[in-house]
Amino acid sequence: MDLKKIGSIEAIALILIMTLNSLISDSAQDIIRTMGSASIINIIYCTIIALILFFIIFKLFEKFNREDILEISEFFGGKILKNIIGILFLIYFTFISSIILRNFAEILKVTYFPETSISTILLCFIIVVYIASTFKTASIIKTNLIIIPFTILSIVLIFLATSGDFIYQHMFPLLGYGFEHTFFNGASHIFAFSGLAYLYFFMPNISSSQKATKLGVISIVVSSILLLLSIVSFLFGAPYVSYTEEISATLFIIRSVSFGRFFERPESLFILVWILSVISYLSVTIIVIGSILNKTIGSSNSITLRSFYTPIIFVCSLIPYNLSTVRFLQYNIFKYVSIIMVYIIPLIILILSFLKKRKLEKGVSSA
Amino acid sequence: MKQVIKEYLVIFITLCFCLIYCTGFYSQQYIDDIALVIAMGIEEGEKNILKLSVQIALPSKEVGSSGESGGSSENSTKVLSVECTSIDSGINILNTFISKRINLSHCKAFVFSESIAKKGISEYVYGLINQSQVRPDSNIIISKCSAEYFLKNSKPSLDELSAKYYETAPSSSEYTAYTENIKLMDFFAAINDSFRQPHAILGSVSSNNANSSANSNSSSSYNQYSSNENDSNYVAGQTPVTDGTGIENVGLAVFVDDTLVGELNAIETVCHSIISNKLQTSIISISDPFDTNSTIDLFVKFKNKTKRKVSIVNGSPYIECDVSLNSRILSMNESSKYLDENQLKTISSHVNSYLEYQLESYLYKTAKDFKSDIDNFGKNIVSEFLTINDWEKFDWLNQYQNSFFKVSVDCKVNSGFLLLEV
Repeated sequence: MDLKKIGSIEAIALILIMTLNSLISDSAQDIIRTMGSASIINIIYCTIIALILFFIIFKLFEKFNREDILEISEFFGGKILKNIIGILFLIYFTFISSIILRNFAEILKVTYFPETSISTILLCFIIVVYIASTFKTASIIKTNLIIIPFTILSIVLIFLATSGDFIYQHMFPLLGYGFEHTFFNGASHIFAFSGLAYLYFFMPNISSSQKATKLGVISIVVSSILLLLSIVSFLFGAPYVSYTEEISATLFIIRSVSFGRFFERPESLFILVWILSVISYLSVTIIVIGSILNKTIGSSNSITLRSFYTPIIFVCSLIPYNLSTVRFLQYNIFKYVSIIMVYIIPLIILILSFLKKRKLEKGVSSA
Repeated sequence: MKQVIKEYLVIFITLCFCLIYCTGFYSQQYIDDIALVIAMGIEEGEKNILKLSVQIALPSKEVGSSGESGGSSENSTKVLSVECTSIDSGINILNTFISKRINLSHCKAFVFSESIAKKGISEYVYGLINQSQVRPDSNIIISKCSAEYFLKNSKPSLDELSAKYYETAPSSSEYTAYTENIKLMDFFAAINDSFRQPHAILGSVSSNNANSSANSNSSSSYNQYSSNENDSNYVAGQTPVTDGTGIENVGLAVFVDDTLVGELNAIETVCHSIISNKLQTSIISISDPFDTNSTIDLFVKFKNKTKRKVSIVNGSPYIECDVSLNSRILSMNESSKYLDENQLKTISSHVNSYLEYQLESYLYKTAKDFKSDIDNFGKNIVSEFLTINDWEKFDWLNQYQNSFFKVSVDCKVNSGFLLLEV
């Protein structure tokens, strides 16, 4: 990666862009749909689980002195494992970004461009991401830092705009569809913090492993607050989202808000911010993909690799036949794939590598 | 140098793309090509399932021929009707009839006739919510006369723009509480809610203007609730306004699920506002305790929000409401002594018993006659349940009809306004 150091706020922004884009893609609605009135409790519970898992993962990362997940895989299983893990993450990031892009393009098509083909809308995004990918990594990260506050502001504004009509009692019945459903099935909602996956690849660019742990905790807490704001806006302000399925519940709710009688129909402004946010998210994903390709192929020119890879995201986002396929992938596959890739695989690799390292160290000390 | 040129080139290309997409040339839809609907009427057809009416704005007539504002609002809109099988097919037929494409993005009100509302309107509401052009903040009105007749008579006398008229008319609820500003999204949310039932604005054409035999699509079966004894007992279509050339929104239409089951008159709507904590200000008339032949007008507003408590007693919901109001006396005569503490106490006590009676009557009417919880009492008891299954088994919306009520009112009559004693 053509980047030596990454600042604390920039690193947090990188993780948040993933959370914010899954919020734009209605991950909050998905949580409410499955958890009902227990959504708030469920997210607090999932935040605690994510923090515990994150602590374990990053305590193990600290043993490897700023090495990223691919380097640690290589240490444990050689180049073969490194390439396998690299390819898995490559597929994961391509899959997630394609789904988020396609979902957002479908929202734009239905609301603003009904007569434009989906490929044209997707192409507009891809061209911008392609151009962005030719810039240096630092430029993309700094641009992301500029876009993040506006996207956060959009989530906060939705919360404030709907807060006047809040019916707080929609948080009852407290346990939603039951204890087991809320705390066992609902644990899968730790997928909401999947932005942490970026941190696994930016480890060499963060000054210390301890700092990475601190940044991760801040990112999880901020992501959790944003998620809660979204869930509260839906659950208290538009509880029908738990019974109905909208093209975008977030857009649906904004369409009915106005800021006084002189500032009505604000959704266009929100859409503009979200377009920038999606572009920024795709650009950041392309950086990470470039970094993975760099390490698996062994090339030194990550910018060329990124530019080459951008059209692949375009093609992948065209694969789902229609919105129903996109939603199926988003609700049923995205969640579980994220848990496997962000928590389970890194945890297994780190534990095994740590055991190998300890064994080697013991061997050295006994010799 | 090459790098700088490259960066400028990239920025230039990006800006070109932005400009191309911002101009919106691809949509090929100009203001002259579209017919802006400001209100839509839906009712049962005679030859087909539906009769769809659209009120289309004629912008050139609204601003006057010289281009100055202030043109007559007469004929500033045109109402077209078509018998059809669905809203969308009706719009399609109308599109072939007029030279412009019908656009619903400025539609401010959806008017359903009473007869169609009695059969259920959820399919139309879902259909409207599904359309990207339709604004969720449009009002939903149940018309006591035919929807077409309602639209044809909606001639604003004080507004120049018909669309603005529809926008401002329901806001009278802020100072009268004789109606409520109910939006399409509120109705949609209430249909899907397990805490409450939906309600809508009740509208009609002023009775002085209404040609009830020819134009009323349905004979109202709720007229037993209206009487001319008190100014706040009117429902839409019965107010004795002398001009009588327009529509009036007075009262509320009460639904069970998506089916109209009854209507509330003006004072009952005030009661609804008090119970559901939506009252801003209102004027109520009570009989004068010192002179039974005259009335006292009171300007009321909340002192504290209404405290509501729902509990289950012997298997039935027991609902307690503590209403706390402040009021000032508007009416004045030569014997009024509003500095006299005893006189104020007597009036307060009279107001309290009047409001307690009205509120209890209103609540029992919603529970026993309509079986519809439009006051959202469900939210006050849902916390007693741990899971959604328990709540659904309890079936609040059905249980509400077994409710019994206790209302206590504390309305403090402060004084008159500028004149305190004569």
